[in-house]
Amino acid sequence: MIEIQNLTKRFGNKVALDNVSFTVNKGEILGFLGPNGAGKSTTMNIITGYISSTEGTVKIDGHDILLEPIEAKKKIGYLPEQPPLYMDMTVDEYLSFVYEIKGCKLDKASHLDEIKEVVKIKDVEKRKIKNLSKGYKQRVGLAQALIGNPDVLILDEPTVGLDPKQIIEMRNLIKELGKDRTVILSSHIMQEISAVCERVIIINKGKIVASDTPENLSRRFSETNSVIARIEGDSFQVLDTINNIPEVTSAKIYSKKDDGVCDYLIESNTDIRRALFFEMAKINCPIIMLRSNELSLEEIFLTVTNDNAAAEQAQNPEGQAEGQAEELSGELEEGQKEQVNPGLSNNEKGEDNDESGI
Amino acid sequence: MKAVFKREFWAYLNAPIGYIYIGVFLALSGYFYALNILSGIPSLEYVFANCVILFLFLIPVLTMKILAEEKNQKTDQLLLTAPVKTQDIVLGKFFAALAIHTVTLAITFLYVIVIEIHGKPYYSEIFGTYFGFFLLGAAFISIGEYISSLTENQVISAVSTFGILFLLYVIDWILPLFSNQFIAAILKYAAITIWYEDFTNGILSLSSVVYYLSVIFVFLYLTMYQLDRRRWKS
Repeated sequence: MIEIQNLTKRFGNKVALDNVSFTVNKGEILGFLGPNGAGKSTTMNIITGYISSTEGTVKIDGHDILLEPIEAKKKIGYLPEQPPLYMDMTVDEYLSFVYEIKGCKLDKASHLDEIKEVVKIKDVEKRKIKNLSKGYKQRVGLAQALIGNPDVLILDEPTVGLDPKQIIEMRNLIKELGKDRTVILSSHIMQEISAVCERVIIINKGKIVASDTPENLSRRFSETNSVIARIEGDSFQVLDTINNIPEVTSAKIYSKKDDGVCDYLIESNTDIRRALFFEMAKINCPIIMLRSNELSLEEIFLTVTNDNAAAEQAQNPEGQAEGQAEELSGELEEGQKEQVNPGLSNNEKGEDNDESGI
Repeated sequence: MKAVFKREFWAYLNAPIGYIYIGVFLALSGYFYALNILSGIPSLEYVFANCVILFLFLIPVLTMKILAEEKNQKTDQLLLTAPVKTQDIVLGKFFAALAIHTVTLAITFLYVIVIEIHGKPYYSEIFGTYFGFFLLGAAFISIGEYISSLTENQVISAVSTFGILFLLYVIDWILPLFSNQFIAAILKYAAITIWYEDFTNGILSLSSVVYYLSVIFVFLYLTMYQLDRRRWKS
């Protein structure tokens, strides 16, 4: 349905997108995940024909967005990051305008009514858009994208600025809409992607760093048969006992909790959860919590985006200063990187401290 | 194009801006007209000459937000990703502003009717002038629309449009200073208000019509280029 090949976008010297290729199949909900400034909006703006790419092609159902823009655009409903609303119009006037500018052929009254019903804006249809709350504005933006029943929906961070209840409603709505449409959804919130999407593309600094289903990603990046157990009891005795289980290859204290309670990271050849239970029962050390150490999408995200940055720095250590100068305009991106890095290093530090404490 | 025209025309009439244009123009031109009547002159020549100056001030008000605000509010994302051609957007907006301008001119026709009741107006001159105003206004609007497409800021748009229109207007004043025929001829092409003078004498000058249509075409084309540039530049 959507074919994207070797997409590159440069703004002056800054490379916003670097050779990005992917396809989205009919009826698929694709999640587009990345830190702020990674190139998500740029990609979406190129797909919808708002800006052009420096290199590469975008085809919507076989129509090239630059060569046959009208045909391609007819198939797309787009909700940009900031909903394109005319504040001086009422909801009805606005939707009527969008209906006309899209050259929609469906019966006007019933089509618009149906959409207002779906996104639940019937009760504000006569109100001026500038007087609506952020949540309603977002929904009017989504209504606008749905006009003309496009096959493809492109939604740029559709839940930003909504309250938790509205976020859940919006996610359910997107899932519902995705049943008979192709949807590309961007977000920097991981739960959102794993809740809604069938496939995830993680993008960082204009490059695709991972692409798979949320489950596969989580499996791929997690070490096999690694569990975290929170056990009460003398840590020496516990560690000793764990190490005596034949299948265990390594065990260490992951973090210290309150008196006599520690989290242990245990790696093994096979699933040792049962064995662990019985061994701990023998020495009277209760297991308070036990979970397999699968990475959440959030952790994968931090891992891949951080690896990527680290790899780049290793490749081009001198380029760092240069890169920073180039990115003066992309402060958000830098900000995000800084946010990510201390988070991880704190974590590592925490681990180190614990280990030295043994 | 129809949808864009409707939305834009609607926006003029649902916001102060359309009424400011119509109201201020009618109030000031009415003042000049009253002075004219009080002096007992059946010709509207002086009234119309002052109207050109009003256009210089007021057309930038009409065109300042025409594209600048779309960019500022990001509503251009809706227009440029909708299945419409760029020229439909540019022309729709152009005709909406031109419609407001035309409505204003139509209302001023009351002045002529009053003269008709009490005296003998020179109709060839009056119709010529109205035709000239229509073309002059359209040319000013096309320039204003182009400048509005260059910025996101309405104030910058209005002030630069006024500056440029005023500059084109005052070229007329310095023309006699140039003895060099060639420079004088080139400057004459830039002096946008000179070309309308034939109309005020009741002459339907073809070269003036072609001149104004060319100005309109060039600036509307530049506006389209400006909107498409982002999408095609590599």
